[in-house]
Amino acid sequence: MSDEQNKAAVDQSSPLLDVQGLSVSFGNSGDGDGGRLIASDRVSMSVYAGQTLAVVGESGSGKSVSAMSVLRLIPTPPGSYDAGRIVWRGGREAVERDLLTLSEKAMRGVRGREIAMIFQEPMTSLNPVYTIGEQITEAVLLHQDVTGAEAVKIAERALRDVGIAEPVGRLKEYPHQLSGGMRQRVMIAMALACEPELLLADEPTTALDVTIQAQILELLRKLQVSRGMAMMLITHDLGVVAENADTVAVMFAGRVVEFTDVHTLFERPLHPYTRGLLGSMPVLGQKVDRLGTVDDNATIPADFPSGYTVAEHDASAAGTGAYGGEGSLLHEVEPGHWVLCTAEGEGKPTPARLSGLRGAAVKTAV
Amino acid sequence: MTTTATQLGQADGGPDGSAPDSQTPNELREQKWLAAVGQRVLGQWGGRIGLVWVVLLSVIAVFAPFLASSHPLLMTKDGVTTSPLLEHLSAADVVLLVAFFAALLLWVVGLLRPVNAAFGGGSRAWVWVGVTLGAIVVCPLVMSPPPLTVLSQYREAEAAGELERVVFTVLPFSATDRQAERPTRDKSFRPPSARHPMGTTLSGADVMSRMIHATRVALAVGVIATGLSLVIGIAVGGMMGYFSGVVDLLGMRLVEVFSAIPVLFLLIIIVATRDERNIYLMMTVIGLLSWVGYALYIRAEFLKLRQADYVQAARAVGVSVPGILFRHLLPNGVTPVLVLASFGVASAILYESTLSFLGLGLVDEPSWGGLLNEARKAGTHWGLVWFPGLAIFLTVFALNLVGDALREALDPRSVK
Amino acid sequence: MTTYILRRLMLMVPTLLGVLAVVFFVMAAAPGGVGGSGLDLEGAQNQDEDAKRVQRQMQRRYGTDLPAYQQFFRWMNQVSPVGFRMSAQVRAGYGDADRAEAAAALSGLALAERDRDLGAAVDLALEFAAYRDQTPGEAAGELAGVLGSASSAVSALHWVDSTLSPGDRERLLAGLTQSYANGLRNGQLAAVRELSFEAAGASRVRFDRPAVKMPDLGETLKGRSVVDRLSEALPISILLNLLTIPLIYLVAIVTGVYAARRAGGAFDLSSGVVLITLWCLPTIWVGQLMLQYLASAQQPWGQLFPTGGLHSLRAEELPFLPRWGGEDGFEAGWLLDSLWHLALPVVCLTYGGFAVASRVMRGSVLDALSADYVRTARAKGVHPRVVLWSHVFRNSLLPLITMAASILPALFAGTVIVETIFSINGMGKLAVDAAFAKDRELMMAVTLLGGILGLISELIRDVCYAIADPRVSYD
Repeated sequence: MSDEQNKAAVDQSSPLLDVQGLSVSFGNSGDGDGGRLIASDRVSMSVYAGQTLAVVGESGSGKSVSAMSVLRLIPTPPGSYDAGRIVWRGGREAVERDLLTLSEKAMRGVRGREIAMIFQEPMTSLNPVYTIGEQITEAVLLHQDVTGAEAVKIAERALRDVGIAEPVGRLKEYPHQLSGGMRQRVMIAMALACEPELLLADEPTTALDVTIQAQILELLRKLQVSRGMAMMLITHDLGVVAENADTVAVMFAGRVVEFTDVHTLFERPLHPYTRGLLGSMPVLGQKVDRLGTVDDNATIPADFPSGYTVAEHDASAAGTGAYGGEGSLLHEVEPGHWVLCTAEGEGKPTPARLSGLRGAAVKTAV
Repeated sequence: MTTTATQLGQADGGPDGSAPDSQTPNELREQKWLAAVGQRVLGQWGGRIGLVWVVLLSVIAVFAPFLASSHPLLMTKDGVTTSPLLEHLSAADVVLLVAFFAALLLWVVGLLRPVNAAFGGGSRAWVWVGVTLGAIVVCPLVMSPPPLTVLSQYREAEAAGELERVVFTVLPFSATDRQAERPTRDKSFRPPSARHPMGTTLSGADVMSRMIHATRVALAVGVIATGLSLVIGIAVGGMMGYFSGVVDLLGMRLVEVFSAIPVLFLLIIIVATRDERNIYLMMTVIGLLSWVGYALYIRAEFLKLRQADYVQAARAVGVSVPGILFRHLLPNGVTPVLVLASFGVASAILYESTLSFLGLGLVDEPSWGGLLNEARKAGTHWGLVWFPGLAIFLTVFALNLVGDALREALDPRSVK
Repeated sequence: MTTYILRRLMLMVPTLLGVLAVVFFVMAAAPGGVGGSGLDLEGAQNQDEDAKRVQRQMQRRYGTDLPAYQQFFRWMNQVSPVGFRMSAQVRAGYGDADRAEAAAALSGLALAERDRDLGAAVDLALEFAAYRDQTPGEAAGELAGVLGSASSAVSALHWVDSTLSPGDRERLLAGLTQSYANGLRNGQLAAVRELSFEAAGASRVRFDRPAVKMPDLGETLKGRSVVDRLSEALPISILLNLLTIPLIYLVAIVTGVYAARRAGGAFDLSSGVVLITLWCLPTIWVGQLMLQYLASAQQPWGQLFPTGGLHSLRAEELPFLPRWGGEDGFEAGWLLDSLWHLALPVVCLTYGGFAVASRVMRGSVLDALSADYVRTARAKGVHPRVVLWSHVFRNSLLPLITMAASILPALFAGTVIVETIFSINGMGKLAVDAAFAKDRELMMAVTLLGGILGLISELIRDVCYAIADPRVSYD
C-alpha cells in the first residue's frame, strides 16, 4: 500500500477520524430557530486506522445523521451543522483537516476517494436508469486518472472482490435485475472501487434477509482486513457489534451516551441506557419469561430538544440528571471509557460510583 | 362549503348507499371528516378566493332574471299593477330558485342545530335532492309562462307615456333583447356606455345581460357534464378494477380509444351534425367524452386497494372481494375524485365556451364563448374581448384554486 | 425491444378498430344530418335536385341507405390499406387504374358501335357487368340509359331489374346504338363521357377482389379527394406541433429544474403563480387578445404581427434567408417571414402546455433530488451539477414522458382554436370547416386521422418510456 509511509507520518495514537462535539439540526427555512429539530447533539467519537467503530442505537438516535455529516451529505438547508469539528487525518496529504470547514470542491475529493459510504436501502440507493457498470465506473473515473477501458477493468475487479460471479455480464445489467443482496454487494464494490481509507456503512444489512446479512457482514470483514481499511459500522444489532467492532459508540436521542472498546462495553456497561440495551438481548441457554425493554421511546429527538432524557425517567435513582440532560457531557471515567453524565456536585464520576447506581431504565423480567 | 360539497357530490350521483335517516357511526365520522376537509379548504386563501368566486357566480346564475330582464319588475298600466317579470319566469328559473332557497334554508337549519342531531347533514342533503327533483318534475307541469313577447314593448310604452309607474331591474335588458335601441335599427356594435355598461353585440343585445345569463349556461354545462362523466368514469373504472382480467383489458382499449381521438374533434362533429343544438346536448356530449380521467383514476385506485394489506387480510377471514370493494373501497376511492371533478368542471366550461367561440355552440342562448366569438367580427369593441374572456379565465382559475385546495386538504401528507 | 414494440402494435389493433367504430358511429348516429337532409351545398341552383343527386351518389358510393353495421364494414374496408377492392371505382377522382379501365371499356364500346358490330358491343357490356357483379339485364339497361338523352340517363339506370330475354336483348341493343349515336351526333361528347363514368358507378359499389390498395377516404362534398385535403392540412399542423412540443419541453425543463433547485425560493413561488395563471388562461381569449392588440393596424403601436396565414402573399418570391440591399433595403426572406407568421400561433399553443409540464417537472425533480441514489452519487463525490443533470434529470424525465399523452390531445384541441383564430389551413381548421359544411367524409377522415395520430403518439410515448426506463420489461 503506497499510503503506508504517509500513514506512518501521522501519530499512530491519534485517530483517523475524530468527531468532536458535532451538533446537527434540521428545520424548515423561515420557521425561525424555535422549530428546529436537533438530530445530533454534541456527538464525539473516533475511528482508528484499520479498526471498526460500531455506532449502535435505535432508529432516530442520530447514528445516520452523524455518519452522513462526516461526508457532509446532509442537505443544507434544511439541515445545518451547528457546532463541532470533524477531524480527518487520512488522504494523501495526511494532514489534519476539519471536514466541516473544507471547501465543497475539496470535500468532493474526500467523498468516494478517501471516505466511502454504503447505505441501508440497496433497493433504492442505486440509480435505476443506469447500468451497474456505469455507476461503478463513474466513481472510478472521477477519482482515478484512468481511461474508460481501465475503469471497466477496475469495476470488474471490484465486482469480483465482492463475490459476484461473471462480473463482465453484471456490469451491463440494471439494478432492478439484481436481488437485494446482490445490490448491496454492488454498493460495496462501488464504494471500495477507489480503495478508500474509511468506509461508512449505514446499517448495510438491515434491509436484507438474515442469511444474506451474515454473508454481507462476512464480506465486509474480509475486505476490511485485506485492505487495512477503517470502518464505521452503524447498526442497531448488538450481535453485529459484538462480532465486528473494535470500539463502540452507543447513541440515544441524538447523543453519544457511552463510547469505549467492545470488551469493556459488554463487560462493564456504565450508562443506564447501555445497560438497558444489553439487558434486552436474549442470552443463549438462559430462560426468561420476558426480555428487558428500554422504556424510553424518545425516538424523535424533537420531542426532547435538550437531547438525552433517560435521566428524567431515572431521576429517583440517579439524582438529578446524572446521565443526561442539558448539563451532562461525555466523561472519561476510566481510560478509554467515556460515559455521558454530569460532572457537577460531588466531583468527577468514577466507574464505581456509576455502576453502583441501579439501572432503573431497565425493566427486567417480572 | 361542507354542505355544498355534500350536495354537489350527491346531486352528481355520488354513490352513497347509506340510509338517509339513520346516522351510523361510520356516516358520522365521514361527515366530520368532510367538515374537516371543508375547514381546510376554507383555511387556504387560494381555496377561499376560488370559492367566493364560484358562489358569486352561482348566485348570479340563480338570480339572473332579477338582475337583467326586459320585463319590468313592477308595472302599473291603466290602474292595474302587474309584474311581467314574475309572469315570464320560466320553469327552469323557478327550479333554480327553489333549489337555491332550499339549500339556504337547510343550511340555516344546520347552523341552528348541532351536527349529530337526528336531522344531520346527510339527511339534509337528501331533503335538498328531493326538493330539487320535485321542483324539476312539478315546475314544467304547473307553470305556463306566456309565449314569446316583444321585449321592447315595455320600453316603448314607457317612452310613449302609457305607463303610470314602472320599475325595471338594475339592467333593463334581457339576454335576447336585440333591439336595445329602437331608433337605430341598423346592425352595429355599440361600445360600453352608461346605458350598456359592457356595450352591445352586433345584433344589438346587451353584453352585460348576456354575460349574466351566460353564467347559467357555463355553470350548468360544467356541473352536469362533469356529473355525467363522473358517473360513467366511476362505473367503467370500477368495473375494470373490480373484474380486472378481460374486462380490464377491454376497458383499457376503450380508454385508449377515447384518449386517442381528440375530444374537441369529436365534440365539434357531434355538435355540428345535430339539427338542433341546445344546452342538454352540450352537457350530454361533453359528459360522454370526458370520463376517461375518472375511469383511469378509479381503476388504479381499485387495483391498488385490492393489493392493500388490509384488503388481503379481510379476504383471508372470508369477506368477499365485491363486498370489500363496494362497501369500503368505493367510498374511499371516490372522495379524491372530487379533486379531479373540480378540474373537470373547469374543462367542461372551457369546452362549452370553445364550441360557442367556434360558432358551434348554443343557438341564440347567451354564452361567454359566443360573446368572444362576436369579438372576431369587424367593427367590434374592446368590451367583447375583455369581459367574456375575463369571466372564463376567472372561473377556470377559481375552480383550479378550489381543486388545488381540495387536493391539499385531502392529502394525508399535508396534515400537520 | 422489437418484441415490445410489436406487442404494443398488436394491442393497438383492437384500439384502432375501436377508434374506427367510434368515429363511424358518431357520424352514423347523426339524425339524418349527413348524407341527407342536412346537406348544405354552396351555390346550388336547384337545392332539392342537387341534394337528391348527392344523396344518391352517396348511397351508391358509401351505401348510406344500408343498415349502419353494413355501412361500417364498407367504410372499414374503404379506409383500410388491406381489404377488398371495390368494383367500379371509376368516378373522376378515383384511382387512375380504375379510370383507365372504364375509359378502355367505353372506347371499346364506341369502336364496336361505329363498326356496327353489335355482338362486340354486347360482349363489352357483359364484361362491364361482370366487373361490377351485375346481371346482364342490369348492365344492358344501364348502358341503354347511359347512351340515352343526357339529362335522363342517370335516373333511367334505376329501373332495370330483369333478366335478359332475347327480345329484351334485341330491344336494348337497338336502343343502345340509337341513343349512343344520338349523343354523338348532337355533339354531347362530354356529356356522354361523363354519364358513362357515372353509369359505371351507378349501381351500388360492391366488394370485389381482395387487394392491397391505397386507403380510400372518399371525396368531399365538393368532389375533391379527401386525401388531397388532408395532405394539404396535415403538414401544417405537424409543423405547428413540431415547433410547439420542443418549445414546451424546453421551457418546462428549464423552469421546472430551476424552480425545484430553489424550492420555496422567490423564483419557485413567483413562477408557480405565473404558471397556474397561464394554465387557466383560455386559448380562445389569449388568441383573440393577441389578434386584437398585436396584429391589428388600428392600435396606436401599429400592427406588430400578421393577422393570419402562414406566409405573406409574396412569400414565394422571397429568398430563403434574410438579406440587405434589395429594392426596399432589407428583405426579410422566406424563413423570417414564416417565423413572423408563426410567432403568435405558436405562443398560443405553447403557454398552456409548458405551464403544466413545468409544474410536473418541478415535482419530479424535487422527488428525484431527495432519492437515495442521489445521496449515493453525492457520496461518490460527483459534482452537484453532474448529479443534477445526469442522475436526477434522467429519472425526472419519466413523468414528463408520461405527460406527453395528455399534452398531445391538448395540442390538437389547441390547433383547432389557434388555426381558426389565425386562419391557418391545418387539421384543426379543416375539422371546423368540415363541421360547418356537414361534410361527412371529411369529418370522418379528420377525426380518424386525429385518432390515428393520437395512437401513434401513444406508441411513441410508450417506446420513449421503455427506452428511458430500463425497468419496463420488454417481453
